[in-house]
Amino acid sequence: MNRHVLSVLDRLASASRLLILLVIVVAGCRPEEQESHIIRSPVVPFDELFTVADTVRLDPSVIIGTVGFLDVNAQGEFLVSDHVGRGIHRFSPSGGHVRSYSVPDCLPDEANFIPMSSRLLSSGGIMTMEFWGTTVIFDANGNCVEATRLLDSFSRAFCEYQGSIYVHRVYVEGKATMGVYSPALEAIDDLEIEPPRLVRLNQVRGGLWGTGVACFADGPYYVYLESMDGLAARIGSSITQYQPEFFEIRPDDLSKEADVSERSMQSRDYPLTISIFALDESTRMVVTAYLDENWHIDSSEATSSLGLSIASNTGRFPGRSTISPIPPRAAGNGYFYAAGENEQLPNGDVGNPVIVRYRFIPPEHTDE
Amino acid sequence: MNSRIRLILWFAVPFVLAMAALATTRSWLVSVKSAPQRVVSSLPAHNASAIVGHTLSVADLIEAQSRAPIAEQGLTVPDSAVVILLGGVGCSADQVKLLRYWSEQHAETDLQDHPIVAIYADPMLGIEQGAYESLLLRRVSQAKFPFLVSKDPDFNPRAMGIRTPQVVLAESQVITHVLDLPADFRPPALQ
Repeated sequence: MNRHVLSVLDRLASASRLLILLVIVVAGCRPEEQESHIIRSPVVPFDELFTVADTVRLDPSVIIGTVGFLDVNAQGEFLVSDHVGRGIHRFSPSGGHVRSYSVPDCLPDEANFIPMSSRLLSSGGIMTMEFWGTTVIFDANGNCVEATRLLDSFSRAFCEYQGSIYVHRVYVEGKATMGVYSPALEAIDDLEIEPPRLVRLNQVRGGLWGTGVACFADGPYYVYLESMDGLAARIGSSITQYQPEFFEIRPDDLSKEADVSERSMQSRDYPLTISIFALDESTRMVVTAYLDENWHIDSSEATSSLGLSIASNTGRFPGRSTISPIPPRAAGNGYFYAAGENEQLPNGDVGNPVIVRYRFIPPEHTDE
Repeated sequence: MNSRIRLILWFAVPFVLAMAALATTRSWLVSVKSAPQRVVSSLPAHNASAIVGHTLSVADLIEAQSRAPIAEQGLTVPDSAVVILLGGVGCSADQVKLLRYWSEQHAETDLQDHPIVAIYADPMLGIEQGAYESLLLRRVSQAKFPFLVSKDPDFNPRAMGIRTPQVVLAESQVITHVLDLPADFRPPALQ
């Protein structure tokens, strides 16, 4: 009798172990889904969220054509990528010229290199990238230490997280991934991310160059044009999505039959999310263009009124949004940075643009 | 034996062809990125012949810095001039490089006797933006020749599908020839 009971128990134990193993295997194989919940983000006046902190004059001995891409590090240094002059220039927090970087000096056959996106790295160096092409890393002393003529065929933006480079890619077909690279530009991993809901829309337009991904203390976040908020690339990061009042969900993708110019026109029928910035290590700011005209400031053009949606990755404050007449170009240390007017030189000529810093005022928790 | 060869060919040939196609594509991609820079080539100016015959009317030109008609500035389009046509910075190839080339190496070209004028012709951007971008291009290129802006709404190379910059020869204010661009001029990668 006992032997029979033991035998049954053994079988049950084996079955249980098998069941547990099966559950583990099934759970392990099933892709983790981020079950997000959506919270409305009320629009408040711009000056309730931001105040002008100061204006930084960039060293006039450096000739800058345009601030094509701007980055700021924790020390407040600026890195300007000039798309007209094709130069990359590093400035101190007060605007003093620290160093300029030359990709053609590193790769002589890359005389046409356009620094589409350049970022200051935690190592003290910088990385510059021409999307779909050359990528170069300079060390803290300005020496070219790594270079490749093609890092990632579909790159559209990058940021650094815990010493690795996360490259946001244009979605082509199949899996949506983010490339992860070492500081030596070696491929480490392909991080699977959510694919865009509207594939054709994201093929027609690309948002603001290089600003489709931003890195925070809990990892990289990215946006697609139809995104109402930033999406965390790493499972376990913030999953609360804020929907600003000015954001309208585009129901359908662009017409399959339409030609390129028609698709371009259609793309502006709804708001487009063009950038995500890290205001600080846990505060994201998502920028939306082509707002409905009811949200335009005065009677200005569609492109000059932008929607900003600010949210905490850690729930530190309630999400808020605002309409901004100023396009943010970079963010960090609790500020966003914009390119201001060009200085007027004594001879009547134009000088460098100034950099204007806007300090973020975190909203307070209220009973909502 | 024959069937074995046929079997090998059946699998091997497509595989070899596929590998060759991949290798060719890859080497083409690499060679496109690493081709040495050529300053001048015989590449035809794409589509640009459509602007031949256009008159650069002095009445439609303003000086970029003062925004005043060029006649008031004592300027004119010389009887025979090299004209660098500029357009929207964000949509163009490396205009600065071309301006620098003509500014620094004009004396080494066959057209050294022809004065140079830069004309910003992009009515879609408006006069004010055109003047502003002209000044930026002048500042960055440090070119010493005059920078003018066209007010002529009908002179719109971009709308004609002509990529800027273009370099043309103007005789008696009429565009008579489109000059070749360096081979490696290309617009920024599209996103």
